[in-house]
Amino acid sequence: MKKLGASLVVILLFFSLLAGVRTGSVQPEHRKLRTYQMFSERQDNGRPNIYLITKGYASNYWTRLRSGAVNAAQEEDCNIYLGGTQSEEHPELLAYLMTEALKAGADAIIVSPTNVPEVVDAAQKVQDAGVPLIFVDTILNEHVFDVCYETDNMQAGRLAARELISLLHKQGRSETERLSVGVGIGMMESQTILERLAGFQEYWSANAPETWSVLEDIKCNQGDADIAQAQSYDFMKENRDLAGLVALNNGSSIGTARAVKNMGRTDLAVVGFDYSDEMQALIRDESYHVSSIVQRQYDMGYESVKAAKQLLSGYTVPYKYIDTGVQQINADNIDSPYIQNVVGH
Amino acid sequence: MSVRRNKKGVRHLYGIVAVVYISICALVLIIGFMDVRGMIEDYNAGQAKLMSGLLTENINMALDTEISQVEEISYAIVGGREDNPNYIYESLQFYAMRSNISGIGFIDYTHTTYGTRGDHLDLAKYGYLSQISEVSDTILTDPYRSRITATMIMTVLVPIYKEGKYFGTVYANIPLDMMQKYVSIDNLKDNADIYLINSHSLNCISCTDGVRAAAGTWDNLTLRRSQMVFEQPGEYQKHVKAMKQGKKGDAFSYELNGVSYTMGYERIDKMEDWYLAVELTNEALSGSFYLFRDRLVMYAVVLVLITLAAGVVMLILEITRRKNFEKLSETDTMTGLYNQKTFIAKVEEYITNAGDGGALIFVDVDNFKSYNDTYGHMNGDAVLRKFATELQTEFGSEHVVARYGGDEFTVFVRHLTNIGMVEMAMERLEQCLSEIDLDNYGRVALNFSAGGACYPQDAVNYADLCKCADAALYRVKKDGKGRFGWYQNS
Repeated sequence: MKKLGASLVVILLFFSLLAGVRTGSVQPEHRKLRTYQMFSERQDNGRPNIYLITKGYASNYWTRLRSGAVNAAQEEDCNIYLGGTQSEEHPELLAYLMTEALKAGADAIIVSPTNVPEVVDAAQKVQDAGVPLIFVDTILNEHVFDVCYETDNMQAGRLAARELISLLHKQGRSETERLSVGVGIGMMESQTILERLAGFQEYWSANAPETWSVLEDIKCNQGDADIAQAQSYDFMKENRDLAGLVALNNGSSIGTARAVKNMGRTDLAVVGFDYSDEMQALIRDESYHVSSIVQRQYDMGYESVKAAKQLLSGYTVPYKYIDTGVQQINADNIDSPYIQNVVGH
Repeated sequence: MSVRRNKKGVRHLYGIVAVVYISICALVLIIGFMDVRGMIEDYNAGQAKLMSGLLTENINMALDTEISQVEEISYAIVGGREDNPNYIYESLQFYAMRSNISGIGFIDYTHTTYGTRGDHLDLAKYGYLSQISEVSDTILTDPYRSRITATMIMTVLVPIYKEGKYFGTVYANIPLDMMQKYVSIDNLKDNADIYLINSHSLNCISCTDGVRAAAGTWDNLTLRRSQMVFEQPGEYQKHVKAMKQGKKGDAFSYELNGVSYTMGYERIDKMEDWYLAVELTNEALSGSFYLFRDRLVMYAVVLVLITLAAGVVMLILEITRRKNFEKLSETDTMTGLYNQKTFIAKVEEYITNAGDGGALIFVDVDNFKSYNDTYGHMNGDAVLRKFATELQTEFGSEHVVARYGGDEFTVFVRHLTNIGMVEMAMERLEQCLSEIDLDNYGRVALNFSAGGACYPQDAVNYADLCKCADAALYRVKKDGKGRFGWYQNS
């Protein structure tokens, strides 16, 4: 009986190891539990092989980006292989996937990088191998890529500030009135977030009335919407003169929207990012004053594949840095066909 | 009793002195350490301020040079007789090839750009294109990302007027990482970050590949404020206010993620609302000071330990010395027995304190002079040492045995209850001291005479007891020597 039990355990362990290989739950180099998505098998059909590696694949944002890339690949008659990490938390896995793509014989690699040495080194290897490397969503301040498609996050931040000032004016806030606005951000080390914050602060300091101040306590939620929600409650509790909230990424926006809705704070002007269900619901509710800045991630994916094909065909791309732009969505334009197209509906 | 009290008092005094000395040492060290720390902080702040001042001067001069060169070329090319924009653009291109400029062009009064489309789109995107005809002086834009190079740049805009009318604007792009070569600090580059800080938004952009950020990375001082730990409350607000007010510059220290930094900042004259900030780790700034401090602490600890050890050793030596001195002052050097002075003191002490009886015995070596004369002084000394040994053996430390002087010994028997025991002891002594082996002379006969007196029966004080014992000895000698006799029997 003992022998049978032991045998069963061994067999179970063996199969669990096998199962782990395909999904990447357990790898010899990454013994701690981290999930990533490995590419499908390479097809040798004479078409260019483009590998897309993203630092996230489950959210609507990344799904849209990948969708753009897949559609462009179909149009350009390319094979596209999708891989990525579950989140930004394990950037070394991004580097691993880039290396694997190179090993698999990628003709071009598109990646949403994170600014860590491992990824920079992997990018350098791709460049040294003569494989076109395209960044999407995030740029690195290193000369290791051919072209980057991302949101100009400084501009996005400026737009967020402009929107918030506009909403406050629409609410009838006077320029001599003392009020404060709270800022919520995701990962403190994310250059995307820092650029948005820089753009927001720059525009606000140059254009907002002197009596309108940004609270010094900028709350960081590490990308967790629940923490963002709790922090929004704190903003409301700690600041009687709170008139607005700005959430500079999707997770922060979800949490902020929930908090504002739960507390029924129709007096607050809210500007968020991206197009979550929570933000959408708040924008559609006429009692709230809400605006969201959405990125054009579909265009990032789409244009990056187009650029990859161009580079593989021996052409150059006109610019190394392309701002795919943003669009503000508010109660006035949410149902317009243009906006619905932008958000992918 | 008074001797004992004196010794106790001296030990206490030593203890107090030691405690006071160590306390003073500790206090001096603490004050010294605090002083050094204060010196380090002042030094850091001073160094950071000095460095940022020097670097800003470099930056200002470099920017001044670049801007001046662009202006000169602009005036020379555009301000001359040539009005053809294409020619102007080609000439500007030629200049740019030999300089640090990453892009150059000309925008005429109709806002037509003679340059790359990318430059045109960037200038339009950031709102500079719409302003250029309204600006009469050269300006330097805020840093932004070029779509052509994907790097952070700043653009010099030089308006050109001909015959009082606006003719156009020359633009020239200066890469931000060009600053790197003007601000490199060879000795500290692995421990320094250089930033441009905007005094209104408190946005920071890194100019160098430093400790915490790569060149071109944005950050915000308000965001970092939550992680910074300042020693003085209000320190951060003070410096932010100074920047907002356009003050020339200063420095402040803080801790960030467990590392101590000092940031020096100086206003950049050529970039309105911008400051150059140099952030250095304190360890790098005052590495030698920290080394010195660590060494100082180490030396101080070693010094204190050595002092303590030396103190302990000295104490032990002193105690030993005193004991030896006391012993020397109490004993006869040749025989090791108590000397007369000590004997008297001990007997008097006994008589004063004890309630029991005792016996004082004088023991005299018979015909000792002849031993010296016959056998030599060395053998004479040997006789005395044998007497001492046997007396010590017989009476031990329980009783007091002394060499009274010359060839005379004395014993005081304490707690005497039965004189028979003394008589038996004396008989045993007669046996032991009946002969001696002398060098070169072999076995030689020995004899002694002894007289004893009892306390309190014969006398109640030392002097009288002494007289009685002496009288007893005298009688023994008079009766033929070589035996022991009591005073009572006299």
